[in-house]
Amino acid sequence: MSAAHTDREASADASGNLADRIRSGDRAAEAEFVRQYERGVRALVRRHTRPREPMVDDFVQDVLYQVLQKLRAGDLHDAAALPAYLRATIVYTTTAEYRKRASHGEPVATELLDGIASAADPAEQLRSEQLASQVRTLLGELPVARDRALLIGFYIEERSKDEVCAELGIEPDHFRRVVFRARERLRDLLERAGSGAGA
Amino acid sequence: MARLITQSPLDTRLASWLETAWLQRYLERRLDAEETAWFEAYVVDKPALLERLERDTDLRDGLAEATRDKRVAAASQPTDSEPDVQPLRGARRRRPYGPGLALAASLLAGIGVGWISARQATPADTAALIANPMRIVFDTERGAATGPRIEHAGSASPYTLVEIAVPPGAGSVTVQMENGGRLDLVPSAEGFVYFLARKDARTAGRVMTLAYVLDGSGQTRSFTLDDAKGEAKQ
Repeated sequence: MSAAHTDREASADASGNLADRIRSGDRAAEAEFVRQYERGVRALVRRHTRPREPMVDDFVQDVLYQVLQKLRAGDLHDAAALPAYLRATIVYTTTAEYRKRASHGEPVATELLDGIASAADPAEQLRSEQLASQVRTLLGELPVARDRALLIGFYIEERSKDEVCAELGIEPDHFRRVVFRARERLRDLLERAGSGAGA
Repeated sequence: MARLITQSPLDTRLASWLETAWLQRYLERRLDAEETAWFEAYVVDKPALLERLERDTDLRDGLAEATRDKRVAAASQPTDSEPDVQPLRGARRRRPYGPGLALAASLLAGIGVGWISARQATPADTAALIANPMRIVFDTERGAATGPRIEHAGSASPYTLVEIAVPPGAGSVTVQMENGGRLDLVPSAEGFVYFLARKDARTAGRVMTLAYVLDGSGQTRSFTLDDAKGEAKQ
């Protein structure tokens, strides 16, 4: 029996066991479910929402609650499908909210989210300002303006890697180097400043 | 190989080098929709991969915040002769973080070019089964209308399957073609309505109107099937 096969069986057993325990009303299993998946749900919610989205915490709670309800009701028969179900719930929840905002003509522009974010959570606001401060330092350290344009083009304007490379006349390897170093440097700066990444 | 992996169980752990390769492609936004769905489900309970993903999201969020009030200009004075950070030359903002994020935009953005043309009936017109019909999907992502996703653009099928996202709670959804009949559409559980359009002169250049009721208020969106652009994907 291969190691991968053993891992798979162990993982499936753990998921199945957790699902069974939650269905049978085990509160400790529910806490375990939240501990096991909260970080991943948060990370994916952030990927599916806009920068500085003030409702990230709400989305995370909403997704975990919806899936927990399914587990309690025993509606999720295939425990191995739990990660895919979580991911689908994240996409549905975030997309539905944005569709709703758009259809109501509600503001979703970053400028308007700024006010909401400022008023929402002082801790989150502080973290956001720290993050911005470290990124400014990071940008200030980049000696070539083209590399700054690369980051802005890819992350803020959401252009594809190929587009950015073609526009700036750079090779894909250079693109990867700049982005990799930027991520590493930002992590370093955040650790020095004492603010955890991905919080 | 990607297809084989995305069909494999999520509880099978990939080799480390393969995880890294997938993550790299994910972060560079080079995975298609199916691969993205598989990979996001795969990483959801893997802290080491999540840490690297969070680092990338931090960079995105930090850049958004840092460039928001243009303070970046002071923090990043150019040290060479190149211009400072600016929108790329001839920038075509794909999904700018600004207004204009409504579903209407995605509809008015239109659908693929060149597929509407007067066509003679083909054997496919009478076929009982039609493989790989052209498919156009309009969706909304992160509040921004994404470009229509077009699949099988070169299909010989005489029909195109059109899928349009509608807001949660939308009811009485209809689509009506100019000088044509009106069809009632029922949103799916995923929040999409679907209809088939013939790829011939009957739909070419015709204005179509999607209408629905949301919170007691009627909404309409108009679009044509032949004046838009999209990235074709076979």
